[in-house]
Amino acid sequence: MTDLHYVSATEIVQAFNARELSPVEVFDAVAARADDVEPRISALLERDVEASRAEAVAAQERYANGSPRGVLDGLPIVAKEAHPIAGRPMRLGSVLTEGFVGPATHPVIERALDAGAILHARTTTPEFSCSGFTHSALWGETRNPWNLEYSPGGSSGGSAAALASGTAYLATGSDIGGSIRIPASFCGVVGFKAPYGRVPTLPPRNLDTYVVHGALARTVEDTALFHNVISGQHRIDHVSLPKVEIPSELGDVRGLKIALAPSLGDFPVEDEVVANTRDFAEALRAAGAIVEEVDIPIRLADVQSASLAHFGGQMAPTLTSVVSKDDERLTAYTRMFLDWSIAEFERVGDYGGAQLEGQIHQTIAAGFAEYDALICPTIGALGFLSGEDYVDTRLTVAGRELEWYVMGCLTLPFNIASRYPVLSVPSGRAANGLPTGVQVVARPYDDVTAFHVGAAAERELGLTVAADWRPNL
Amino acid sequence: MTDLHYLSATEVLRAFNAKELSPVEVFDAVAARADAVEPSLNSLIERDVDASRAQAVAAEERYAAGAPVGVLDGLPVVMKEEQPIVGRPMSLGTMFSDGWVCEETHPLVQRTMDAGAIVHARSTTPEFCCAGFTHSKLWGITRNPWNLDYSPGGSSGGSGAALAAGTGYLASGSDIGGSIRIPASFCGVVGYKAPYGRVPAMSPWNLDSYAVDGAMARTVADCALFQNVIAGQHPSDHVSMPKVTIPDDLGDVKGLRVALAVTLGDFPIEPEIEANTRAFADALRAAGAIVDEIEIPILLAEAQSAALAHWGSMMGPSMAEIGPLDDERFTDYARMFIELSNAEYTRIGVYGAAQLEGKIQMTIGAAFDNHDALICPTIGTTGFIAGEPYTENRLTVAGREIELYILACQTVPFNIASRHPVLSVPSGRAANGVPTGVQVVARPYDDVTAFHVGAAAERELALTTSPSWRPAL
Repeated sequence: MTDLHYVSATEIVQAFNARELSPVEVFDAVAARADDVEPRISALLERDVEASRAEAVAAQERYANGSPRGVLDGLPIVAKEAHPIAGRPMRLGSVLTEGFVGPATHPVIERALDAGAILHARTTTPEFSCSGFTHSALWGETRNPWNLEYSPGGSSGGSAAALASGTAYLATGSDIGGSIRIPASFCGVVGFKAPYGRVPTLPPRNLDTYVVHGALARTVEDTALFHNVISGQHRIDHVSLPKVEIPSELGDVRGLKIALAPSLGDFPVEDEVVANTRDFAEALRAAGAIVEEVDIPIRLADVQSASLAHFGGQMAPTLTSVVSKDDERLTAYTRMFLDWSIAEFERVGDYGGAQLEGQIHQTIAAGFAEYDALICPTIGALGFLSGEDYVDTRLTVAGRELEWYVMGCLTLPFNIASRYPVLSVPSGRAANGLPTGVQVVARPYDDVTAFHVGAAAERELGLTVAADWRPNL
Repeated sequence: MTDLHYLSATEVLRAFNAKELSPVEVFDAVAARADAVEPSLNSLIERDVDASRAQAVAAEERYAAGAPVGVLDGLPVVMKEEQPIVGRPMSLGTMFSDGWVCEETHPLVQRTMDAGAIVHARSTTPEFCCAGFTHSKLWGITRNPWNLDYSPGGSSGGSGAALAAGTGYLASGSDIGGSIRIPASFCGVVGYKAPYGRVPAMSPWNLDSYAVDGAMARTVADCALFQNVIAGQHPSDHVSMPKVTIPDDLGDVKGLRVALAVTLGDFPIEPEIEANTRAFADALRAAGAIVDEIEIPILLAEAQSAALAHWGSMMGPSMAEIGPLDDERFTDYARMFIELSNAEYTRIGVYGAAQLEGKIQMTIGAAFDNHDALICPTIGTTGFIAGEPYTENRLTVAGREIELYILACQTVPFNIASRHPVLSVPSGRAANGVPTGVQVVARPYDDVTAFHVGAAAERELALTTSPSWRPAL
């Protein structure tokens, strides 16, 4: 096999079981790839090649005995640094967290390790994972493998960049405003924001309904494989939901009714993104779905207000409990996030926020009433410039200057309406070389339909399975 | 048949289908009963006997034609007034409500009507449903059928009283701190606080994770019947969850491991209630369950702080926006609710509450590591005095004067840990004649186990099936 580091996780694990590949051989390929590309990408942290290779050797022995530890045994993966590991550093991308140590191991890490995966590196984030790009004073700039002038997006930017550059087969992410879907889209990989509660997390942030942890991978099938490992109730998370198993046979959408929203309400979307979204819709038609264009008339201003107020009430206090919001060592984007969200929370409050959220829920639900799934772009912009924090400079999308660059993404409505499963799937590439993505949204809690639709589009588009779907690194 | 008004809903519906009883005959019995007892109870509002009787006549015709509209066709039920019915008054027990009209129908009410039930009355509540008793300036005092000197509890007190008095076969309630379970317990009936989201609610209250709408009935089987009508996703409630059907055949607990907590942490409890709770545990042992006594070390002060802060985030502001706090139309207890909840919300915020909530959720969750269900008293006190607001006078429970009377109920912990299903089932009576109840708590989202355990205890105790289980009205 050539380009071992780009083979799918599903195939790798099959080859392990068939003893056609050894975990050591695969680990060595991934480690060599990381040595090669990391100087340019800067997505990985805490690599310990010797320890990881020893795990690969142990996995190889288990396969030789016919007793792998779990469905991911010996597979090199990476995890977002924001997912704590007991006893390991917990820096959260901030220069202000010297000496912070993970108090417990996050359930997604615990489950991935129990399934036998080799966590060979952790991945970069922006400071406190509070932005849609990935650079920080602590870790510098993480770059997009498809075009180094651009950010991979964020906040799970290191995870997505690692997948796109072939330094991991699976990666974890978390999403409170788009942080799984944005980097998945910009890096040409797949990311799943499950319904709130489906993937367990640690208290007390498990009570924030915008927060979802989840799987990123290079294919829909690999994302399903990983999601099936990490999802389902966990004793530490009271709100965690029963598992819904994603079947291995995916992609039958014949007769399914799908709504196409080239934008959501008044969110700006670049023409190239619209064109790729329409290609995605055509692919679904080719697969036998009935696709009809709809309007989902939510207002960007309402989404911005509701989400900032929500962040101000629930996320800002988690930050200000460990740092002063006026500390000059904070990055400018963190200060902006705190200032804006706290101000909006003070203006709108929890009750006002809930009323706005309720209106947005109803609007999305109404647009969805006749359909099994909805597709819309993941991001309206073509890219975020690497290192740019969009504090002094405003982002312009489709000719419209945005007050808050995050609204260049169409992701937040589904943190507000957080019970929808949303799978971000590549839809093509823009002229700047960056991939574009589509959000496949299914009805609340209907995870399986999102995967069927995503798999059908992926198959028909044939993008990610093509040998040229590789960044030129 | 004697005492038609005290037959179970299940039996009445069976008799309708077998044409052994007519909906008109049953309606006339219930209407006559209401005429007889309502002057002493004051639990029903908006009775329209002519219109309801016409519905009974129509139902009779449908049964004669072999075509009932649904599983509750022709059954007289009552709905808590808080749950709106389009075009009807919306009074919420408040003097402010002059001219208020419902603009939509609550999904629970809609489903009940769609199943053919006759909503022959709505039921009283305290002002804004913010109390654990049922009296208000608007509607006066609702009394407990078992002892008229006591309150039926609240806030679904009219519903609890109507069931106990035989003026409704099923009744709806809602619970943001115990408002289904408290009146169920004090009135000797069954009330089900489903996991948050299982029964659809109205925006924005569907976003309040403490708030649950639900079923009350005289038997566990009737409660299951009603729950199966009202549960499951609804397009107007984004967070509403898929239905879990409660089976017909309930009560097998052989080998089930049940934890007995005679109180929760440091919540006070009267000896009579402890004795009845232990009798309930013995009944489960007789049914084949393995019952172990355990401690659940939650702190009353933390539950109080978390709940007050939580109520201060949405419920308090929704009341405060009605009018200035010194407006004499407010009851003293509503004013106290607004003030106490706002003070705690201002002090610790939603994030501070979430930290306490997470701790309480994990403390309760630990009890389920080795048990399938937990039983504990619904209320630690043997009664709330009718008409007493507990604003000036403090309630004393088991010799301990408590700051906030609602903490005499052990219900709030399961609004905090709101994904546990909780069925309140009668456990006996106190010397004052007022019934006592036990909360049957199952694992998050495991509705079915709660019903099995409740049905087994009900069967073995045989309280509610005995002809003596009738208030002397």
